[in-house]
Amino acid sequence: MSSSSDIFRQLQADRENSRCFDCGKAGAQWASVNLGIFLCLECSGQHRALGVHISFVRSTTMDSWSPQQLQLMSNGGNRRLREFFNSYSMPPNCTIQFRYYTKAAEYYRELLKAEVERRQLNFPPPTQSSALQPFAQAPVPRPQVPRPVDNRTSIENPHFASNYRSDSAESSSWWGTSKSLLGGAVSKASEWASSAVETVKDNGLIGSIKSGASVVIDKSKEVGGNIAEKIRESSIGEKSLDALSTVGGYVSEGAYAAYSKVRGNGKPSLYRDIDDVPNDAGEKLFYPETNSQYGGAQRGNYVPPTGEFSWKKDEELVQPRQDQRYFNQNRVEPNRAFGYQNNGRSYTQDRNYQQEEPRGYQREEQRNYQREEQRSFQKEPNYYQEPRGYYQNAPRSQTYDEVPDFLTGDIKANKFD
Amino acid sequence: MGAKISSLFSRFSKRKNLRILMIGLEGAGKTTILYQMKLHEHMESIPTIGFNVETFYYKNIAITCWDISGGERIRPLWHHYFENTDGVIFVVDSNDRQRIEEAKEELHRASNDTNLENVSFLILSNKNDLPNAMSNSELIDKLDLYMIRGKNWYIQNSCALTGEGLCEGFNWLSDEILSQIY
Repeated sequence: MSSSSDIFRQLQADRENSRCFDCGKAGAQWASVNLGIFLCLECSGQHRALGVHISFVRSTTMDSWSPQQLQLMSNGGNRRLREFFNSYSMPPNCTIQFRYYTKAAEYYRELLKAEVERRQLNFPPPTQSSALQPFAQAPVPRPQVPRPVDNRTSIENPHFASNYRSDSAESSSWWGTSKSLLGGAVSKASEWASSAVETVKDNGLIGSIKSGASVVIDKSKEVGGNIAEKIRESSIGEKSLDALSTVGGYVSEGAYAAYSKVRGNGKPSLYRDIDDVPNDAGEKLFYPETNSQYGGAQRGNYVPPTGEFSWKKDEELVQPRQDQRYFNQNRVEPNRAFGYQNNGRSYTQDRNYQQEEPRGYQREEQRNYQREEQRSFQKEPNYYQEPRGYYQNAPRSQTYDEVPDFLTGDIKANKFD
Repeated sequence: MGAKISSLFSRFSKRKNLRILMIGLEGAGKTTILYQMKLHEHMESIPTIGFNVETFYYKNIAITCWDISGGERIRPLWHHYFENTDGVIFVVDSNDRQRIEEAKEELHRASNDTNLENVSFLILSNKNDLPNAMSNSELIDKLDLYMIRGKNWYIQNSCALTGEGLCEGFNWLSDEILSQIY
């Protein structure tokens, strides 16, 4: 018994079968089984969208074929369906959806199936007038579901507003990143606090909580501003960053605690629900410029920029499930040889690091290292020797525009002739 | 300094990168679903040979979705993608009654894989807008979903052409995965 590839080679020896039935492109490697025709890659994609009851697409090279399916293909073929459609005067330029939803196409599918199954076909052939009508209700095009509103509030999200605003040079420097981070922290804190105030308003609770929440907002903004100024004044340092992270964390945690307390549920959800987004506040916080009255993108029709973006944390997308930061917290710095320094920024500045005194052979190594260092800095002997002989009296450490006479005198006097 | 900044990041945001694998028989609508989630519009696709990968944001979560071809020659290669997977989406063509047995075999082969232990399965019964589509209870019966042991699964109707049901499905899957992590 011959394999399916042999059968297809035989079938496609007919020139018409080696071309796509719909577009006529050469090299048809896909096939619609229940229609018995050969297709190209693009048209097979359109056929697959019709559903398997209209057109069941398989690859002639990559799929396995049952004997029954092969029989369908050899009984059918591009030529036979073309002649069948011509007898019903199918318009040549109609769409694929129209062509295969007609009563004629339905009859042809049933005809092929009955031939292969060797049974009587009790399906009446369509009349000339009704052949081009759809055999069943074609699916009505339905409206596109609107895009979700809240897939844009992430700090890491490249469509996030703060990432928009900072130009690339600024965001690549440490100052740009810390600034945008601070901005994110303060805006988050104030956002939580303000939504807390709103919920209090809605529930009609005491005004004292409201004032407390507003105090939280003011404090967080103050602290944020102070930190930003201090960092700008001081040089880049580990400690300032440390302080920044801790203070920022406190601010956010404080506001978060206030928010969750006022909300009444101790454990707020991981992400904000659609209902939690306040009507105006979210827009203003995250899209201050696009929300302008001069015709920026609005909530409904906002389209994020497409195309490639450079995202620094690309490797982290495929990182393993274990969280790296817990690993870093408990990490112990390895004991290194004395004198090892990391380009001016010593690891000993780490908060948790306690340097151990070297003992035993390590102490010996340390001393040897110090001695060698001292030796290497000793004054080297002067290997330069004063010239003797002919050039002994030549003036040195001068520059000449021309070659001096005491060198070229012999040549000028033609002594070598 | 990089570590400090990342610790600063982690104060405000938890890990939100999920790797999700999308498998299913050919022509089930995997590629259409992928681009519906990425671009929120219907794109005409051609049969996938190999795979498509896209990263999109759903509810603050960066989802890296691997859409792997469902061709017969490529199905034996699916298990190479199973490692480090947070969730699996199995797409079924609910209109295709002939190949539902084939889909069942592939689904159970994937769900019994050792690399997919404790990984949640979302079963999307796609093309559910067609009049002859199978209902959810029929699909549960025909796919033998109650035979899947040791993992959570959920079946969701969808229509990839319009995007109906996709957000509901991803909602369940992301909730499920995040509740396992945290």
